[in-house]
Amino acid sequence: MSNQPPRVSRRSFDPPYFDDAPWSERVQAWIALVKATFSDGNLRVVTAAIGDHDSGLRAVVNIGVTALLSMVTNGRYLNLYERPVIGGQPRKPSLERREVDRAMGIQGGNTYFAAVALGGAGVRYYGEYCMVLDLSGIDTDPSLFDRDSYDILVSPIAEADRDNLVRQLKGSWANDVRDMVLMKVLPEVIHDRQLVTTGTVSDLILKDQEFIEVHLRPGQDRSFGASEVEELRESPDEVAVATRLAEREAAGERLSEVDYRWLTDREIVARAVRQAGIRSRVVTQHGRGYQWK
Amino acid sequence: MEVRALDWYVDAWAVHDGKVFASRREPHDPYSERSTIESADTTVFMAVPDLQAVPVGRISTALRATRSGFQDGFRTSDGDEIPFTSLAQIREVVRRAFLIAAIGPDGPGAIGAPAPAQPPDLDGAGGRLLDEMFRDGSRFAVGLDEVEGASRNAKAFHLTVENPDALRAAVGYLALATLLEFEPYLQRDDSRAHSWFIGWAAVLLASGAVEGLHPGASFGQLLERLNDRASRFGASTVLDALHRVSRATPEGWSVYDVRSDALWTRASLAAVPLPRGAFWDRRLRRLSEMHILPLADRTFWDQQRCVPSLAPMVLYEVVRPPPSVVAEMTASSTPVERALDRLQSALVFAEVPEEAEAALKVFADACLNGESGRSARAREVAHA
Repeated sequence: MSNQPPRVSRRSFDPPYFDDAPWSERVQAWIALVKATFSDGNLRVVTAAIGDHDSGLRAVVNIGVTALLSMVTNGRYLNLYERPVIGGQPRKPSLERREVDRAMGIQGGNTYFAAVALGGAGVRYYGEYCMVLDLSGIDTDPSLFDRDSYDILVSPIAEADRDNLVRQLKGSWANDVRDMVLMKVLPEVIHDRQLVTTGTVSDLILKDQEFIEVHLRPGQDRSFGASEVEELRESPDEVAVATRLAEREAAGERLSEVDYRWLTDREIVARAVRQAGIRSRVVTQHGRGYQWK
Repeated sequence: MEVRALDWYVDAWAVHDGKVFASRREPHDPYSERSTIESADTTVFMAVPDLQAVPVGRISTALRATRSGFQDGFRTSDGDEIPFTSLAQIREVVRRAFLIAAIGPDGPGAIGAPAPAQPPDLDGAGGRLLDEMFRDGSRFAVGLDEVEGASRNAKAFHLTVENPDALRAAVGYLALATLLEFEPYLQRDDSRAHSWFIGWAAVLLASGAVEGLHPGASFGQLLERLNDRASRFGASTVLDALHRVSRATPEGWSVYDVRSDALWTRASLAAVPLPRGAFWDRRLRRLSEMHILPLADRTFWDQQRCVPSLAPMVLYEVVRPPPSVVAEMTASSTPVERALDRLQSALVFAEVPEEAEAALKVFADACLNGESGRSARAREVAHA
C-alpha cells in the first residue's frame, strides 16, 4: 500500500492548510488571504471561545456501556481488543493498524485515542457516552493529528506523498491545538455577513467523524480512570430514544429483547456513574443547548 | 458475463455494545499483505436498539473503531472472514450476540445487581423446591414448530404446550422458588438486598404469577403460601423479611403501590436469581438469562423442550410489563397464557451463515463461563 508511487499531485492539496510551516504561521497566512468585513471579528470570537480554561477545548473519548462499566468498576480504561470477542482470530495483526502506527509513530498498546472538542457529545459512532478528560493527570502534551488517522489509508492521501502530508498534519496539544482548531474552523465560516456563534464553532471542531485526533500516552502500563473524567456527556438523541421506548412500554406494548436490554444497560450505567461521583450531562452542540442538563 | 455483487463483511464490531461497521467489499486474504480497503463500495454503521443501517461514506471511520474497543472483523476459527449475503444477516448476528452478551457472571445485569452478594455455588432453597415440584415435570413436552408463511429469510416458531395446566403450575412454583433463592442475599443484612427482595415479591404478587394466588394478592397471603416450604427448605430469613413487610405495609396499600416504588427498576429484574434447577444449564444464575438464552441461541431448543425449561421464560414475560389493574380486569386469558402469546412474537430467527451460527454458540458458552472478553483481566492481556 505505502510502496505505491504518488498518483495525486502535491499541488492539489490546498495551501496554506497543507504546508510545511508551523500551524501558527498557516493561520497568519490564511488571515492575510481572507480580508472580509467580519473576518477579524470571527477570529476574536473563535479564539475567545476555545481559549478559556474552564469552558474551552477538551480532549474527549467516546465509550460504550461495557467499557464504561469496566472503567467505573475496575478503575482503569482499556481501549484495545487485540483478541476478538467472538469468532476466530486474524492470523496477523491488522495491516491497516500497522500502517497507521508506523505513519503516526504510535506505540499501539500504550496510546489512547481521543478527539478535540468544544462542547457536544463527541464521536458517537464509537460510543454513546462521551468522557471529557482532565489531561493534567494523563498526558499534558499529547500528539495531535488534524483528522481521523485512518483517513491516510484512503484516497487521496493514500495515493499522494503520504509521509510528507502526515508530517504536515501533525501537531502537539501544547503548541498547536489552538491554531489547528482555527485552521479547521475559520475557512468554514462565512465572513461577509455576521459573527460566528460558539455553537457553530463547536460543531465545526467535531462533527460526525470529522475531528482532530488526540494521541494520549499516559505512560507505560498506565491509563486513566474515573478520577480523570471531568464529566460524562450524552447526546439528547439517545435520551429521546430511551424516553420513547419507556413510553411505549408504559402504554402496554411489548418491547423487543434488544430494546429492553438497551434500556436496562442505561439504568445500570446511570447508577454506576452516580456511585462513582462522575458528573453526567445531556448536551447538544449548539448555543444554550451546550449547557442543557 | 454476470458480475457477482460483493458480499458484506464486518469491519469492526463492539459485540457487547451492539454496534457494528460493515462494508460490501472483498475479504481479507489471511495469507496476504494486500489491503481490501479500495474494494469497499459501501460502508454502514448499525447500533442497537434499532440496528438501522447508517451510511458512513468511508471505511476509514470503521477501521478507526478498532482503536475504541471494537473487535477487528468477524472470522472463522481458521481466520477467514465470514461473508454475509445481506445486511439483514449481519443485523441478526449483532442482535443475537448483543443479547447473549447479557448472560453470564460478568454480564451488565450481574455487575449492576442491586445487592453485591454473588449467589452461592450451592443448591439453594429455591432449587430444592423446584426439584421436589418438577420431579415428573419432564413428562410434559413443549413443541416448537416453524410457522407456515413466515418470511423467506426469517423463521418464526410456534410453541405448543402439551399440558397448559402443568406450565401454569410450573411458573407458579418457580415464582415461589425465586423468592426462596433470596435467602443468602438477605442473610447478609444489607438494606439494598431487602429492598430488592420486597420489590420482587411485590412484582410477583401484582403479576398473578404466584401459584395459588390471584393478581394483587397481599404480602400476608404470600406469607401463608410460602410458610411451610420456606421452613422446610431452610429459608427462615426470607420468611422474616416477608413477616416484616406484611406488618409494615400501611393500611390500604396494595402490592401495586410497592411495585411502583422507584426502588424497582429494569436493572433489579435483570439480577433476580434463578434457582438451580435440574432442568437447565447450572451455569445460568439469573432469571433473565433463562429468558434471553432461548431467544438468542437457536440451539437451546434442540434439547430443552419440556415445561420446566419453558417456565423461567414465561415467568419473566409475565412480570416484565408494568402492572395494569384495568388490563387484568378486562383480560380474557390468564397471565401465563398472555405471556406465552407475547413470547410467540419474539421467537423469530433470521437465517445467518453456518459459521456465524457456530460462533454465536461458542460465544454463548464463553459468556456462561464468565469468559465473555469483557473482564478487565482478559482485556489487559489483550492489551499487552
